[in-house]
Amino acid sequence: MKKPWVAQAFTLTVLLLFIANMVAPIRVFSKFENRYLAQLPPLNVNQIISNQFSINYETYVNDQFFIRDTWISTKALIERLMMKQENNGIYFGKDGYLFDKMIQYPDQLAINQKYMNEFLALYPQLSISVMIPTNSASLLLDKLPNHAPQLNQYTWLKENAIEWPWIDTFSIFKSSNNPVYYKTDHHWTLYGAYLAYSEWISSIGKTPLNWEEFDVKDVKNFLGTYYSKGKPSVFQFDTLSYINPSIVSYSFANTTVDTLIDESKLSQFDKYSAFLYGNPGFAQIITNESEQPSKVLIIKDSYANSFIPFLTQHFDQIDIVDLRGYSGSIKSLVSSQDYDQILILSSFAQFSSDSNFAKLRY
Amino acid sequence: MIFSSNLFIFQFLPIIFLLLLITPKKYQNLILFIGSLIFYAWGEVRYIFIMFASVLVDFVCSNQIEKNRLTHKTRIYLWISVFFNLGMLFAFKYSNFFISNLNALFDLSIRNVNLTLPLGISFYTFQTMSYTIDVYRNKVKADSNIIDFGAYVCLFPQLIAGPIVRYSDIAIELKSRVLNFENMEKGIRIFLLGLSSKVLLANNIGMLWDEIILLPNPSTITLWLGLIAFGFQIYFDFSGYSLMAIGLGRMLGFHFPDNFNYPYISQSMTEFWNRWHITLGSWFKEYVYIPLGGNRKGPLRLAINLFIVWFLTGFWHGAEYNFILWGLYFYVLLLAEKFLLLPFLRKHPILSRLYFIPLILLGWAIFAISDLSLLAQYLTTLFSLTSGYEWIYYLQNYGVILLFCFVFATPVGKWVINKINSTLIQDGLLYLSFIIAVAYLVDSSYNPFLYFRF
Repeated sequence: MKKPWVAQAFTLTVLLLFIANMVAPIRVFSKFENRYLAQLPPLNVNQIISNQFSINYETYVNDQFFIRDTWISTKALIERLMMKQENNGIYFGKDGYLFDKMIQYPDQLAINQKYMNEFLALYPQLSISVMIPTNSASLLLDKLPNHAPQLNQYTWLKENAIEWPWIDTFSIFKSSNNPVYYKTDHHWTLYGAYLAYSEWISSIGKTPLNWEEFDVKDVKNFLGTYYSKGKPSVFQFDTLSYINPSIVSYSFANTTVDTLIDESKLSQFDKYSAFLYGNPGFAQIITNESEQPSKVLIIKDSYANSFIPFLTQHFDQIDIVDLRGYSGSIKSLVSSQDYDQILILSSFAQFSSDSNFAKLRY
Repeated sequence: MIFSSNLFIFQFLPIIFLLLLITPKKYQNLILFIGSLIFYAWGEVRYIFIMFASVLVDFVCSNQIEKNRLTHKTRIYLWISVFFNLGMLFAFKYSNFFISNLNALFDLSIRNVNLTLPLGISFYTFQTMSYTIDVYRNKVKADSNIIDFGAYVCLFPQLIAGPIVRYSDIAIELKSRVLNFENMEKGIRIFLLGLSSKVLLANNIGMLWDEIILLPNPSTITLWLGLIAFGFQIYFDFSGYSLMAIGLGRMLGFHFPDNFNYPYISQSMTEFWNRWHITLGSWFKEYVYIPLGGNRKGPLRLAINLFIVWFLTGFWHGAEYNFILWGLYFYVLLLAEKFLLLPFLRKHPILSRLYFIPLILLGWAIFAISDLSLLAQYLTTLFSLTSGYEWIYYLQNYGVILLFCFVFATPVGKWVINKINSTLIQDGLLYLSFIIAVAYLVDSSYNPFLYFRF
């Protein structure tokens, strides 16, 4: 072919996509990306003057772009051909491990450190523990791509968390023979949660159960948040494990059930949300298992969701607060309930970035 | 709106061209004017009034100059226009800079004005100003049709980030031009080259710079790598944007001036500035340097004139001290070349590059880092042998893209493409890069706009 044709091809492509974008049905949820897609924003004077319309409309155009998933896969393929070992803040490590990249501590970390100090100073008479598990990258340094820059979150904890009643999970993880982190998800595995449980329970003078005493069930083909974010073209599935201890009731947001596991979620993509039915702002577990009446308050992020089922043998009331969705007062909650233990359990990623920790003081 | 977005390519572009195709010639400039206003107002609706004011003031001034030729009134209208354009630029771009300096100097507490910089204000104020000056100098005739003139001022391809198109460049085409296949064909090619430069090269290499600047303990090699990355990013971003503008102009039937010509193959800073952002350099030459007397008034005046030009060039790039420093950095180097180095540099192709490349990279450090204490820290590490191995990871991740950047920042790329000598493959590569660019735009986690300061 001698005649140039790229201009015609370009024109045709633009026109076809212009039409395709107009006629293709609007998608609400992307299974591929595991998120809701932007919809056509409302068009009114306020939205236009505040420039919200133009911003939202551009997001809408991109989110609803014709065969969006194919374009995303194309980009991922090109990135792979360029020998990129990361995408969208996710490292593609060795042996199928994905990691979140962190090269700088967010400014929120120092602020949350201050909030934590203020919180601990508010309740000197109570028995409080603080657990801040690091991400998998800090533990599995040898699985990172060679020479990849990465902050070690444990370094920060060793220097700063020692001022708190800190439960150091890192050291026991280090000596574990079983995997304590998922390959494709940011959470710890059930075994990781178990190790953390046994460390904390021992530290408050109780006796943890052995791993073998729990009835552990497995769900295969689990792909987690690191996968959804990094979209690697080569990956390994994880196996998600859970325990489903018997309880009297689990109540959250006007709902009461008698199980801690939302089994319907186990067959869906977002399997981790089976634990505790996701992240309600406030939830309460009543059990009749404990040796003596005791109450615990857990202030947590989603790391605790696989951890809390281990506690049912030790407490007969487990109150759970997720600061992201909690609008009540911690002070009045603590004073109205006579908690034997309070545990703050938050991943380092959450603790270093979530502004909701301000609520600890109210 | 920016060119490198799906909204522009797949909605704005087809709509405006379809409209132009069905509109009679007489009303095409009106369509362009309105379309350009929508393009401009997209990100910040309120600033459409600045645009109207700009069009109106320069339209009235230029026509009054035309009407009052040979009277003293022409001067008054010239100064109104210059005062208005520079005043706007000053008010929006520089007032906070001066307020914070006054506060620091005299221990005052004047509050900063809360204004976002109107997109492209540094470019279009220069364009309209040059128009009125040209009318005053009797180089062009004042446009008596406000729609045509409005279409020139707001013309969306050249509105935001250069090239700086003077009225005289396109005066004829503004009145009569044709939407034809040949222009369309040529324009699309240039546009696609620009789009690929921006989306595939600039954005990808820019991620490396953005990361290196955040590293808590970078090594010396990593920081030099960072400057190379930034040098490529700003070049492909800026030249890519200019190419997109030139291509879009061509599609509409306009011939815009070239803005970049392989600046990184230069043997001296003097040559670099003849190849980098050419329309800005010639603007300053024509409207500042030559009116000041240029080189015709002896070496001392030359040194002073150059100082003024380079101070302004630096400051034009942003209302921060580092940009002034950056301008003056080139002033010193250019002066040294003019009086001393140039004959030597021209004779030694290798030695001259050993001089040029590290110094241009150092220049980019000054340009890129506005925080002066951070800049000092960066420069210190550049020359202290700090060890570390992150650069190995970066080379592995960005090696391919660095290679592409090198190939296309030099004539090597063009040479290879010409060598292929098959339209099928050449066009195929260009089309492929378009498709990949769209994929990157759909999944756009990173698509910065570098000219928000300009």
